Amino acid sequence: MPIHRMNLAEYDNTMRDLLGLAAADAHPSAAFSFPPDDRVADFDNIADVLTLSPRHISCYDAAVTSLVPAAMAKPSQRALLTSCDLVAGGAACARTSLSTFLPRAWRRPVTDTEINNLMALVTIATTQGDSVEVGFQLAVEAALLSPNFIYRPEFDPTPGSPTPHPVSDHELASRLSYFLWSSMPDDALFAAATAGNLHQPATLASHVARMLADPKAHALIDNFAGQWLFIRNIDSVTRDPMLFPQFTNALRAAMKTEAQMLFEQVAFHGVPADQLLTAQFAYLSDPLAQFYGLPAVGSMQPQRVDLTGNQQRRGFLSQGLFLSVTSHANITSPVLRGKYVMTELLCETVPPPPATVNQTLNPDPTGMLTLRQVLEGHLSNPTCAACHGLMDPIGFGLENYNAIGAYRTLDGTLPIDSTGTLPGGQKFQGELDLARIIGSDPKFPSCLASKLYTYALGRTPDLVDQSSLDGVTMSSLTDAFNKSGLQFGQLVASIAASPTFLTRRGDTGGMP
Amino acid sequence: MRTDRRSRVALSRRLFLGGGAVVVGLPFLESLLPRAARAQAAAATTRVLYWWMPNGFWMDSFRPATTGTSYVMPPLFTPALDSLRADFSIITGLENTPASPDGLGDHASGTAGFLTCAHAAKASPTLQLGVSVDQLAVQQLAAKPGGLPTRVQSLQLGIDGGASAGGCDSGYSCAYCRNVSWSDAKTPVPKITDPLVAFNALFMGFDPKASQADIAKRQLYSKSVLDYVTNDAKSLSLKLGKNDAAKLDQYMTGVRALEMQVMNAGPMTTSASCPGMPPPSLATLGGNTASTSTQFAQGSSQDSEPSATFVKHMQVMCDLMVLALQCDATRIITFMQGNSVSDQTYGNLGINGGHHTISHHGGNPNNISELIKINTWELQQLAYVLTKMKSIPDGTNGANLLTNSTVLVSSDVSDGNRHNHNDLPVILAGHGGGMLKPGQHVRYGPQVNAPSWSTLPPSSGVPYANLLLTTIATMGVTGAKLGNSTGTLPEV
Repeated sequence: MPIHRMNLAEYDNTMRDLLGLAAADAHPSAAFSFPPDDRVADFDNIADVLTLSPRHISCYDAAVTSLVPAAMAKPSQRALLTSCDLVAGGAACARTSLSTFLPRAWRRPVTDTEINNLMALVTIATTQGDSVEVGFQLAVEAALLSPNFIYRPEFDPTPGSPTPHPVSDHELASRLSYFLWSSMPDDALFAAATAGNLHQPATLASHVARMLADPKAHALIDNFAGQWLFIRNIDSVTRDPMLFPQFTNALRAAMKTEAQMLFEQVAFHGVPADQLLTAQFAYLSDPLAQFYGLPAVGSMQPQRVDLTGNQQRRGFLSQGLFLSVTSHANITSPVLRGKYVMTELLCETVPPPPATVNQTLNPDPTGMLTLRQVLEGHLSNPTCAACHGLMDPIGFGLENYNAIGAYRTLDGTLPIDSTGTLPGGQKFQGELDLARIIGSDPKFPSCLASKLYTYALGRTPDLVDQSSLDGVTMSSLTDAFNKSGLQFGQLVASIAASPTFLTRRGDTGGMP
Repeated sequence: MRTDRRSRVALSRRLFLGGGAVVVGLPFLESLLPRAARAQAAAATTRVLYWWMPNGFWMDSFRPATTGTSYVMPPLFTPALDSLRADFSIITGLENTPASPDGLGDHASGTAGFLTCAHAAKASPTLQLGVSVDQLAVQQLAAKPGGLPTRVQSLQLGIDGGASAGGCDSGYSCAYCRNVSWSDAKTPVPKITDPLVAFNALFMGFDPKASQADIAKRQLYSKSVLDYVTNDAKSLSLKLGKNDAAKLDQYMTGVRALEMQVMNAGPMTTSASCPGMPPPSLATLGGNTASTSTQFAQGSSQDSEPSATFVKHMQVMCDLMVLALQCDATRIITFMQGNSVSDQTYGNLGINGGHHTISHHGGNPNNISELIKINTWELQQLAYVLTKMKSIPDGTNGANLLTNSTVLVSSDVSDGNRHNHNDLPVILAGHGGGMLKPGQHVRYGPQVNAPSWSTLPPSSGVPYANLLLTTIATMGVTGAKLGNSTGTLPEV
């Protein structure tokens, strides 16, 4: 695993936990306009592409020179930085405080030399006639600008050796906390690492269970599901306001909450993962229930609604969020919807069209065709059909939902046909049928497992070679996940206990 | 929050303008300029601006039928650029062979190759490209005596931040789609999309209340902190493997850049660097108020902005670029007019679809006519910037900012449907401090007289990289190598 720069979410959460930032100040990456992180393999926490530019340094500097003095001025936060009275205690108090603060900030025990190097900054300030307080503040700012904070370094006994070795317990603590919380280890995790028994299977398992139950594990919703399920994209989609006046910010927010709460049930409350696609319940507020044509729930806050017997709003593929983020501004896109299912839920590769192909379908000047009938032109051209034959039928099964996810039976004035046949020969009648087929496809659990595995490791696994360490690990993770009845918690626990999560190896110095 | 809380404890070592209100109150912009910049302002200094436009051009309306100085202005250029005829050249026929993708992904690889002429390796788990020409210039100029004495060594600007989930182009890392500046093969230099952030990056560091002693102390503290973290990075680096240590080089480069910025932000009183310049504020940029920048900042998380916002955003950025060059706050700018595969909508032109979608014209006359409208609008923006630069006196002997600049415009591909990386559409504007020969159409390879988008233009064998080297030669950077370059282009 290459050295990992904290991404924006990780930086924000770590600063929040380290400095005790209030909710309003807890997003320094936005407040100080950090550059966006790069994303590969769906996620923005892939160490290989978390590069650092001069602009980052400038942003880090701006953040700490603002947040550290602010924290020092507020008693509750000051207590996280200092453990004595800097005025009365002077340099000795600065040293004592740094001895507590620095291991938290750097997520590992520190040496006397490391403390001494920071204390030199205190001396520089006092030599200038400034107080110890001013110097201490400089030292804290420096600690938070240090690569020991910005990155999560892990060390190899022999840096050039590719032989795997166990990571240290403190390194493991960080791996766990950034996987589950997108943040630094808490005191309990740090203590277990310091005691040297975090790597023991029973201790590890109990911390994983404890951490999953902690509210900070909602980072998995924001950052894992936020990207895997495209939940983050609902904030930025634009719809033609003339065609879709109902698509207000409030409705978007309700859709986002609905998708998040469904994933939350799967992630933390034991609902089997395939029910992501077929759940018999949903979390709806009045505006969303009304939008879906369901009875009012009697609250502006989301309420759990039993959907047994309902055929239209069962699971993620029937939710407003998914249906909106995979549509265009004015019309649905069966292609994008189908592509999402293929690539994100089943981990199939769908290449874009060849550059030389004429991408213009025969137009429909008479208005006598449905979108489906126009798109079926793809299938008459073998070059198009090679991929569209995989994607389009899935999208056709979702045509009963318009570009903001409202249910419909007509496309314009023409009746919608949402039946179809998948490439494997399975026939379906509409969304729920389709969702059941996808949810029971053996590729779905292995795909979810590989997405979470990628996210947990922060690198793109080698899954092409099934005999690689990643390939073997993935295969056993998928087995355990299936055996557990698709329990997300079990998948998390298996990943945390997997050989690749517990070990690292040096690089041989060349290109990997 | 920043100002009042920090003042309760001690002066922050960092100096911030702190937002629009303070910006408006600045007495003289020139007082912000570093001492060295003022000293050199009398002598002509060449600036470079690299402007990337997405999705190629409709080449039949871009490529003049004849070469030399008497070419007929092609449809996309006229009338906006008619009066600037002597100030720019149209260059066609160059090819950027390394910009071809691995498999699919021409937009990503073409955007990545725009200033690097390097090949983006899709399969590589790390980013793998090459240094870009603007950063090559920064590195070479900074190493010369006197260095690059501007407040910001180079400025990366753009319009779109990037969508928050989903892929970018055919399996290529999003970094290739969002960045054109690269400080080395693995390190993109991200762009700023919020005008207020860009403004602060250029003109930060001015605190009207600070005394000389305050400023000296702040510089000492900042330098001490930066020295500390540099040493910290060095000792950390010793404990890491080679690849990890290389990543820490990115960190140390960043620290050095900040240090230079801190040290160049000293107290200044008078200067003639920005003659006749009114006190700058975001309110004077693009005819917008400072509050608009909040909207842009929010917009930066989106794939693309609504067209009304986009048009304003473009104008603010255009004004900001001219201001930065005019005041010698930086001499090197890259500008991404959108991200790769931009599907920017142009409701302002009465067009409903997105740019990328339309650029896959498939020979359809409706798409082509819309593409021509978009391309024409894009070159109108260029005309706006060039006209403004031409109106600003710079140096002596009647020179102006445009004669003392080199402005290069191109795209990731030539034709948006075919995605070819040869016969690139190029505009080279400015006189490069007298080193360029503007006012002509230069064609490499055989002239294409009866063009058709579906036929690949013949290869000229002349690398586009040579043109990039020509641009930095106007800044005095010679003998360099970039990508597949073989020299410079004396014709242009």
